[in-house]
Amino acid sequence: MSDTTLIEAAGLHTYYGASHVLHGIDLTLRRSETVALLGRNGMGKTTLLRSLLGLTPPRRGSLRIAGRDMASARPDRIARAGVAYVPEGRGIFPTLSVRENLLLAARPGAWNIERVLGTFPRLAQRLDHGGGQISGGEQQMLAIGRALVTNPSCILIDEATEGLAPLIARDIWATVAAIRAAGIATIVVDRNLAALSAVADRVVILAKGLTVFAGTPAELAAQPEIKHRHLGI
Amino acid sequence: MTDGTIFFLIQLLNAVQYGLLLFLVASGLTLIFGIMGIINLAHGSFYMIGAYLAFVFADMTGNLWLALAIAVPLSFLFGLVLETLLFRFLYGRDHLYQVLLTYGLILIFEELRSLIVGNDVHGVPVPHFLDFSIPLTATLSYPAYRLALSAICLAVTALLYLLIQKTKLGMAIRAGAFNREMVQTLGIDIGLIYRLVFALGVALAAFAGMLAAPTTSVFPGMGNQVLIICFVTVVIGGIGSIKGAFLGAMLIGLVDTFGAVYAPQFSGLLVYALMAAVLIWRPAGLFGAAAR
Ligand SMILES: Nc1ncnc2c1ncn2[C@@H]1O[C@H](COP(=O)(O)OP(=O)(O)OP(=O)(O)O)[C@@H](O)[C@H]1O
Ligand SMILES: [Mg+2]
Repeated sequence: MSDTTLIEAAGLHTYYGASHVLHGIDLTLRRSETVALLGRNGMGKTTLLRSLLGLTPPRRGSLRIAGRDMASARPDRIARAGVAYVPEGRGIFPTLSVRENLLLAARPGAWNIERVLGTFPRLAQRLDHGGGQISGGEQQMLAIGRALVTNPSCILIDEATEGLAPLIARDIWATVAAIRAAGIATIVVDRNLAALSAVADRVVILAKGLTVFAGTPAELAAQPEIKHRHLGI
Repeated sequence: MTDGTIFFLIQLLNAVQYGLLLFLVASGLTLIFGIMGIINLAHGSFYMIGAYLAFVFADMTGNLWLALAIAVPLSFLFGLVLETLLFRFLYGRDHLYQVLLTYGLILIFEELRSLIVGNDVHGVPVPHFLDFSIPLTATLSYPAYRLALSAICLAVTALLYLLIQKTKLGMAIRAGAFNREMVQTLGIDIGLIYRLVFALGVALAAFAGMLAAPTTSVFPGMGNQVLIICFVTVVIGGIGSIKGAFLGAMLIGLVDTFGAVYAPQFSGLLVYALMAAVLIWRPAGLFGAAAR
């Protein structure tokens, strides 16, 4: 394994109880790269992220993060190895203030709370609001900011712009680009192929728990039948 | 002031003292239920264990403060060990397992108490410099130890408030009650948080038992009495809510104390009537999740 590889998953099989959801997925995330993860509803995108995070550990397969075996590691250990998470539904703690949501997550590093507030000035005006009192867009900014203050080497973002107004979604895409520019790797799940293609170095498409495409956005653009069959466009 | 007013004030002080003591025990019960989802019937036993520790160490050292200084860390440690060896395996399990194990623990703790200290009722002497009463009128006075007890309970309550509202541990506790997975993916060892919360609950209950020992004496079964009233407190306040436990405990202190004075024939019933009234008004308790 080269030292530019952050996440190296091979042959992941993940189950929910008896139901077999991931059927042997390989995925590599290199330092500073942005990977778009696509697929129709229920194809296993969230499950793949949860497997990488240790929330739903794979039953078979290997998972190395920052060079260490993490196939059965607890989520907090994987997080401390530099993997941050922005879950679908944002996962903001509603009974904590915006400030506390950030304080709880913060670990020493270049991304301190001031820097996050500089990136998301709207959060600066909401610091003392409850996490449950702010708008969906602000919650998504907070979720990304909370991931950033852990000073991760990569962030896994599920449903990056789901349910957000187009203007807010544009802000979020700008942020994803800024995170990329800052050298933090990301895996981004979203439905907006055009926006993803603009920021992603690579695209991975899942169908029924298997990888059916992996390549650059340009390679995907050249294969309309894949887009049609697996993304319905 | 008339004797009547003074008498009323004394009852008020008693009510506050009882409420504060009850809060110390109930806060742990509500935290452990609210955050880890555990019904801990053995929680009253920690109160009993605290009282007996105070008795044993005060007897040994001849000094209640020294006894507290030994017994509080000891009960915290005891909580850590219990969580690691037993309670950890109850998380996420059916309440039946929890009730069976923790009921079993009550029996074990009582049996051990009987083997080690026997079944006699013991007294714990009030510390020497607090062993006096403050005269209020020609006939009425108030014991200094009880005042000190209330002051100590208030200080502990304030510390608990600061811990939960102002520290990172407190934020993790509040966040963990809402979304355990998200706390973990922030790199926080939720298992450690649970262990600390459990041990804190044990230490608070035991500390209440230690403080109460000089006022109530130390006797077999004292934990069970406390357990029931603690559950009433938690239900009134709303399961998992510290604020609710505080209000619930103070209400019970008032109703129980004044009930015993002004309606002695119903005194045993009043707190349950209070609970029923609160639940009719707010089915999830004063600060229960449904009411938040
Ligand atoms: N907790 C669960 N228990 C059982 N089955 C689940 C659970 N979560 C997801 N599944 C199933 O696993 C499969 C993959 O779900 P997953 O959420 O990973 O898909 P997804 O690609 O993220 O879909 P979506 O686009 O709807 O978010 C689906 O068939 C889903 O029904
Ligand atoms: Mg999903």
